[in-house]
Amino acid sequence: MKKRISVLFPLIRTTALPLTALLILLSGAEYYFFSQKLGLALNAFSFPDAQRRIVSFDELIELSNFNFIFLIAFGLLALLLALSGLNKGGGNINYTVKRLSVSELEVHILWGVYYCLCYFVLCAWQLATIYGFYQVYLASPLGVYDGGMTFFLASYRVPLLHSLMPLSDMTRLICNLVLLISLGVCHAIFSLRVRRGEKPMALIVVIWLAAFFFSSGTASFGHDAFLSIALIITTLTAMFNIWGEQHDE
Amino acid sequence: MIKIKDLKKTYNGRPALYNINMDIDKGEIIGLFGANGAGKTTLMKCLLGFVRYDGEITLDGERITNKNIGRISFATSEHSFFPNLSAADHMAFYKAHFPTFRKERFSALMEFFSLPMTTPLRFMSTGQKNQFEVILALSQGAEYILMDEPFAGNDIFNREDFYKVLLGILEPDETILLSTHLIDEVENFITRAVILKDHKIAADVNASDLEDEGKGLVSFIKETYSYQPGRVMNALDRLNGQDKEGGR
Repeated sequence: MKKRISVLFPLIRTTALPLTALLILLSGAEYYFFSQKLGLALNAFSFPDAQRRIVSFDELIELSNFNFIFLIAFGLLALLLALSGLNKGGGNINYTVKRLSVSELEVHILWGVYYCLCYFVLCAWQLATIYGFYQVYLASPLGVYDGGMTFFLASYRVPLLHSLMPLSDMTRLICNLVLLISLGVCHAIFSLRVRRGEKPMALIVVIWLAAFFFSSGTASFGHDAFLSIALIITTLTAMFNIWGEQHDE
Repeated sequence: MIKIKDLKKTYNGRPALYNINMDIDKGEIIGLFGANGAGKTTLMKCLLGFVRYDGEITLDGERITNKNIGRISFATSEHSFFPNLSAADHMAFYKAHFPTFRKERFSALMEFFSLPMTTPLRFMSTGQKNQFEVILALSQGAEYILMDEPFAGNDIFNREDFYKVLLGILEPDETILLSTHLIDEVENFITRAVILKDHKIAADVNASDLEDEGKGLVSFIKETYSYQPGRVMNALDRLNGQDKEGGR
C-alpha cells in the first residue's frame, strides 16, 4: 500500500502548493466582487421605503460573476495539472515509472484518481466559499428577510450553484461524477501521451466540454445526457488509444 | 545472470538489433561500444522491458517483469528522475519502492559530488543532473546497473572522479553494463568489451585477453569496425583536388 501511495508523491509535491494558492485566489477574487455588490445592495436597502430594494442572495451571486471567476479557476487548475503531468525540465520519467513494482497502469490509475480529487476539491471549495458568503449575507441587514432556506433555493436559481450542489437532481449528479472521472482519466492519459510524443486531444475536448457545459440550470436532462455521453465517448476513445496497443519508450 | 537469447528488435520494419546472444554474469563490468545507431541504447531498453522485442531475456531464468525489475537499475543521459522533486524526495521515493535502497551510499555520493539535497532537480545543471542520475542508479541496491552514456555533458575531471568512485564502491556481486563513446577513459576498468556493429554483436572479448594480446581497446574497436586510418586524408585530398580544379 505504501508503494502505491508513494507514486502520488511526485504529483502532490508539484501541485499541492499551487492548488492551495489557486483556492485562496479564487475565494479572494470572489470576496472582492461579492463585498462590492453586497455594499451596493445594502445601499439600495437603506433607501426610504418606496425606493428600497431587497437584493436576494442568488441575485448577489449572479451579480458578483462567480460563474466567470470559477471558470478562470477551473482553467488554471487544468493548466496546473497538465503541466505537472508533463514534468518539464527533466527527462523521461516513464523510465522510472516502468521500473517500479507497481505497474504502469496502476500508477496512471492512481494519478487519475488524484487529478479527479483535485477537481473535486476545487468544486467543494467553491461551494464552501459560496456558503461562507451566504453566512455573511445572513449577518447583514438583508438577512433579516431570509427564511434560512435561501441557500438551497439559490441552488435551483443559480446554474453554477446548481451544478455544484444538484440536491435531488440525479442526472446532474451523475453527469458531475462522469465529468470528474473523465477529467481525472484524461489528465492521466495526457501526461502519458505527451511523453510519447502524441497529440493529447482527449483532455482538450473534455476541458472544453466542462468549461462550456458545467454550469447549467435545473431541468436540463437533455443537456446532462449529451454532456455525459460526449464525455464517456471521449474518455473511452482516449483509453482505448493509449492501452489498446503496446508502445515503445 | 542475465541471459539474452536470439534477441531481435525492429523499429517500423528497420532492424535495430539482430540475433543478439549474450550472458551477463554477476560482478562483471561490461563496456558496450559501437557507432551511433548500432543498437546500444535499444539493447538496454530491451533488457529493461521498455520496448517490445522478439527473443528471450531472462534474469536468473525468469522473464523480467515488475516483480524482479528492481534488481536492475538504469542511468541514462536522457534522465529518468522526477524534475520537480529534490534529491531528498527521490531518496524517500526510492526507499519506498526499492527495499534494497542504499541510503548510506546515496548520502555519501551526494556529499562527495556536493549536490544539494533540497533543490528540485530541474534547477540543477546538466552535469549535476547526470551525476544525480548515476547516484540514483548506484544507490538503488540493484545487482545489475545499466548506464547509457551517463557522463554525456560532464567535464573530464568530473568523469575521472566518477570512475574512481565507481571502482571504490562497487561490491563483488554488482554488475555494470556501461554504454559509452569514451573508450579510452573506461578501458582500464572494464572487465569485458561488447562491440555492436550493424545491429549485431561484432565482438565480445575479455579485457584480460586483449591485454594478453597486447592490444588496446581503441585499436581493437577500430579493427572490428574495419576503420581505415587513411580515410580522412584521402577524403581531404579529394576535396582539395576538386577545389583546385574548380578554381581553374
